[in-house]
Amino acid sequence: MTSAALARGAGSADDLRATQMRAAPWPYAQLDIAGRLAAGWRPTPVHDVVLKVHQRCNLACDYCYVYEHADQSWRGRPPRMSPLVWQATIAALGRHARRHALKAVRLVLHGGEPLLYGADRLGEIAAAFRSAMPDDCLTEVGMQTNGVRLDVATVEAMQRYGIRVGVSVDGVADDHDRHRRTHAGRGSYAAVRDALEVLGRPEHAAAYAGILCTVAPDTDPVACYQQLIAFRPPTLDFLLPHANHDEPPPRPGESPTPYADWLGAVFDRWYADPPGTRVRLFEDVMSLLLGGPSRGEQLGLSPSAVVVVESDGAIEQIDALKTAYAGAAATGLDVLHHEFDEVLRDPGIVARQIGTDALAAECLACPVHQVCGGGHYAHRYRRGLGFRHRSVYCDDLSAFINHVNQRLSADLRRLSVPRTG
Amino acid sequence: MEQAPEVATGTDEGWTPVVDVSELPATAILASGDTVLARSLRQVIRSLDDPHGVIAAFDSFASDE
Repeated sequence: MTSAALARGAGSADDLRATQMRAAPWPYAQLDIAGRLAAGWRPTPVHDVVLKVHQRCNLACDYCYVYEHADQSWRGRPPRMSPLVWQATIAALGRHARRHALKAVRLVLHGGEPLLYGADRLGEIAAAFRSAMPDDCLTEVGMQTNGVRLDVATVEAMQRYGIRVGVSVDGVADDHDRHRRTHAGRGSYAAVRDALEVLGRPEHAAAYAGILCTVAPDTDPVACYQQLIAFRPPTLDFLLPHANHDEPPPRPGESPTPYADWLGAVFDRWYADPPGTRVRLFEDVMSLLLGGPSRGEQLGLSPSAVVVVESDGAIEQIDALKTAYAGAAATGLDVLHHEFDEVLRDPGIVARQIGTDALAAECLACPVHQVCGGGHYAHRYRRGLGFRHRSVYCDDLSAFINHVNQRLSADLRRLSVPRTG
Repeated sequence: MEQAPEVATGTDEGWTPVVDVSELPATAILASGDTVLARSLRQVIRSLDDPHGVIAAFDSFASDE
């Protein structure tokens, strides 16, 4: 047994694969990777590495995909990543970048709460990462934080270290504090608001990446949007709460598509506003409707090139999969013993790089699949079938895409009317 | 061996998901000002010549790339 992930509790590589084949026949029992390679398919190299530098968090958000769902593997991992692990990660990524002549790579510092690791240690990782990559390879270092520990000194340190900071905020104070609370049950909004006031200062623009907001359909969408815009983020993204067919999302109210209704209201406001803050989800829908690609994971068929390195060195798929079943994100590999090229043959990774071939027939028969791409991979899960299934948000995605489509079509029709006089 | 996907359950025949812009010069959209529509079209055009290849970035980090 060589992998830290396996040593932690999965037993053996065979045990892990057997678990995955039972829980998710697609892709683990059904995806013919050797056949695809023989037919000329080639994987997309790793581009984003998410480094789980700290496995614990100073908040206890009730929807957290790390702590509050099926996979509880965080309990068996070291709270803090050892230098040995991040150094091995960076070295492996450097070799990977050279082997594939990558033009850009990104390191995302993540947790838990990454700022619990210490600002100077994060700066040390960022510097080591940049120095290890090829000279002609663009590098970006990002960090997603809950913002509670983001004071002036920390923001200035992040800017000095070239680490771009994303902050998670769920709208207005009451809505945010309903979900994003401390372990003692206190809301975190006041601390995050203060952090964003600092991060939003013009002199800190280089350090400000943006804001993530988890959609709550029982809240006022426009009030949420206006609150977030008031923090002047360069980028916003709205994330559907992670859910699947066995653990469906809450659907408050009478509407059959409450998430689409919420997103549609925000989209209309954003679309009418003067251009300023970018919204990844909205721009992805528009790009896809216009025949372009997507850049996020929630929509579209662009290949995913993300791997996660846990605090024990385990190389995993995106940790949103932890909402599906225990072991769903595991690959059985780790940075101390394996190269990133090896993870590119993992069925879970491959399934997210083959576009429409990973979609269910019911999705392929629906014209919207060109835009939704089947939705977020984690949201397709159904126990015993796996991930080749329509999204649990299928109706919401269709309704929201249709909403944007109508808005765009109206503008395009107006532009296509010949001007007279 | 890969198994066939499950049986289709139906389609929405009445809806065309992709906006048809084939008859509309891109310049008309780009000339429409600094709108989100124009910005989206520029994004599509840039992606046609993306030297890095288009990939889906990690969603749990707020970034404009």
